[in-house]
Amino acid sequence: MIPAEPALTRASAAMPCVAPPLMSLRAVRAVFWKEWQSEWRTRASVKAIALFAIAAPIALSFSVAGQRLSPEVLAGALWTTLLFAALIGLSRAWVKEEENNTLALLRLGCASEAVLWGKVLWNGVLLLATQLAAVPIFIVLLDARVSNVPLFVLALLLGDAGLAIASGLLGAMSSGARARGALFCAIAVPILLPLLVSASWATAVAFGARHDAQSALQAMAAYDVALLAASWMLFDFVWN
Amino acid sequence: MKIMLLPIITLIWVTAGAVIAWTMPAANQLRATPAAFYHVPMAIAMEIAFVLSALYGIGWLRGRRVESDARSVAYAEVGFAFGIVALITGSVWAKINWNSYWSWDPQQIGIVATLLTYAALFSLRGATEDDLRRRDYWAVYAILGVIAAIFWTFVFRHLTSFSLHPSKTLTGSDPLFKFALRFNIVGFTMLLIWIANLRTRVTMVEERLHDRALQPLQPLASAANEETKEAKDVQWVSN
Amino acid sequence: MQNETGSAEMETLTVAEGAHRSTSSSPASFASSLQCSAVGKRFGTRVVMRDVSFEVKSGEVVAVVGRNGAGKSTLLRLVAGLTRPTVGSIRWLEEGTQHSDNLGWRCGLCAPDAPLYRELTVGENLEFWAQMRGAVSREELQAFLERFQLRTRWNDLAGELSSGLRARLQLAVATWHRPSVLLLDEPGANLDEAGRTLLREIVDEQRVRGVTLLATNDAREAELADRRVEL
Repeated sequence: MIPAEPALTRASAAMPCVAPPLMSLRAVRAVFWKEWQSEWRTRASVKAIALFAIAAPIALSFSVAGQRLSPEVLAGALWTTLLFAALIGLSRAWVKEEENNTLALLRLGCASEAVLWGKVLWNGVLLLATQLAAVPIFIVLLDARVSNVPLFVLALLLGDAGLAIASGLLGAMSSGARARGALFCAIAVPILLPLLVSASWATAVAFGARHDAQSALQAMAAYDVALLAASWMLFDFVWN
Repeated sequence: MKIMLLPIITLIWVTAGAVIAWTMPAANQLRATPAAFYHVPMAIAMEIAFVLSALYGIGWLRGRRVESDARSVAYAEVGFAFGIVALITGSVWAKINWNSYWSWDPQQIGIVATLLTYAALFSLRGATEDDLRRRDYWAVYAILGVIAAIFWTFVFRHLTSFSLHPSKTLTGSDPLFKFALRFNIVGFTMLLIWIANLRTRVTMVEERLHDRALQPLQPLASAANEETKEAKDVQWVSN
Repeated sequence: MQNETGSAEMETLTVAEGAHRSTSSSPASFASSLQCSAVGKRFGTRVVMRDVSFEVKSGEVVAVVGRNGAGKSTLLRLVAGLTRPTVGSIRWLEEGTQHSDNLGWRCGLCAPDAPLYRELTVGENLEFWAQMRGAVSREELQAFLERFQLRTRWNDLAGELSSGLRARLQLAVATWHRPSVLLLDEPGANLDEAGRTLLREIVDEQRVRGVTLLATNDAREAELADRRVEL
């Protein structure tokens, strides 16, 4: 830990610049905490994600009018809902920076990795929190039977991890471009489709379909790791 | 003359490939159609194009030379065009064999998803104002695109248990068929490189013209003198 | 526009470094400086600036002036490394080192349109930036805000401050870490008379520490500077 600096007064004006921003747990926590605070005061992302994640299954349940859906269709509907709910909320963390014009300061005053992992962590927590509400509602409204709970939870967690990780790199890219919110969806969907497809496959098994879920889970885990590695290696190029 | 060699060979080769395509017997488990000899090679050339695009993207990130970026873009564009041809010829072939243009076969989904990735890549490029940042984003997204393309090409078909596509088209077929297919793969890969080279040269000429606007203003007389010399040795400094 | 060649300066630098290593009696004969050489920037086909060269030595305050759209803000962003020049180079030559490849963290940027987290309080805003550099206690930051008349506003949301106070908070965020390069983009737009005095003080203090680039169209603000770079 860097020792405390002397008071920032006129007398210290001649001292050199305070240490450069470094990647540390403390910095990651600060980014996370900042997101938490501003979300807590506005609740904009939570509202947006939760509203969509709840409205979509309601709309679906009206349109299928009480028919039992096959596990594959249910899984597909669940993940399409979760993906688009996530897309609405996840870009907020970056769009907000652009709206406040803080992106430039963030580039100057923060270690890139601290920003990346702080935001990824925050987005992961945001996803988990909203799904705690949205997934049970989906299951009840569409009368889904989760026959394999551990598999279901594992698929959700792996899917969320991928969504959160991808939102870091892709969010930073879309925030540096025009039409950020819309662009984020446009560039995130193709990259997240493989994850969505594998997740629906695994979830269908959890809903009672008879396939092999293992290869789907492996594909998800592998894709998560690939996204993680790519984010870690490429984020500096996007950020600086 | 050296420059003219590739286009000439390519054109002859592709024409020969087209002739062979119209005279071929049926493949393993599949009815023959000339579309086959465009579909498979084009799809493979597309994959090659996207991998090359990502490699040149890495080249840009490492060296920040405008030409790397221009090549990366050229390969992605040509690959995208090839992908669309592969998709259409594939549909034609699918109609002949499976009696439906579109049957949600994993390979069909895969190629559409891959093309979607690259469509997103183009829209990302269009949406970024700063040239240098735009090239960074492009390169990074091209690398992500290859990760997705790898999934669609190699992982996805093992995930789903059904597929109409035969798994041993190349290895299990008639030797003559195999030869024709390989002949066309080589031909279309050369076509790919040729068109991408042309595209790159066009981009570089444009870049050079735009960069000339950044040159210090010179007195008119000396500017006219150096007009010819300047075109040759414009420096590409981008950092 | 002042044109200076960068190569001569680099030579001086290496000579001085050699002298330093051989523990010669004379101290380094140069201070830190910011060098822009032949910088050109275009966005696509739109040329924002061409062939901009100048050098700012440590202790100098330079006003960047020019008509609207001349590229003043772009120049500041280029210096901060937020965007890279299409041609040319921008370097920060630090005393004792060849050059610093990453100038960004040494910069303090005060740009218009209030780059603040509106949903966070004044204190949280400042503490966030402080935590990134792993230093500075809350008491020190509060003491620091005293000058900016923001100490009593520590718990107020930044989004609810008046525009004048926001401008002060921006100045505080730009200067708390004692930047070597202070980039001020129209800093006085929302400041009252006391605020302008504060701005003058800050600019004067920056002379001890490094370089100030002041992008402005306001004649009064431009008077703070020693000389001008015209775009």
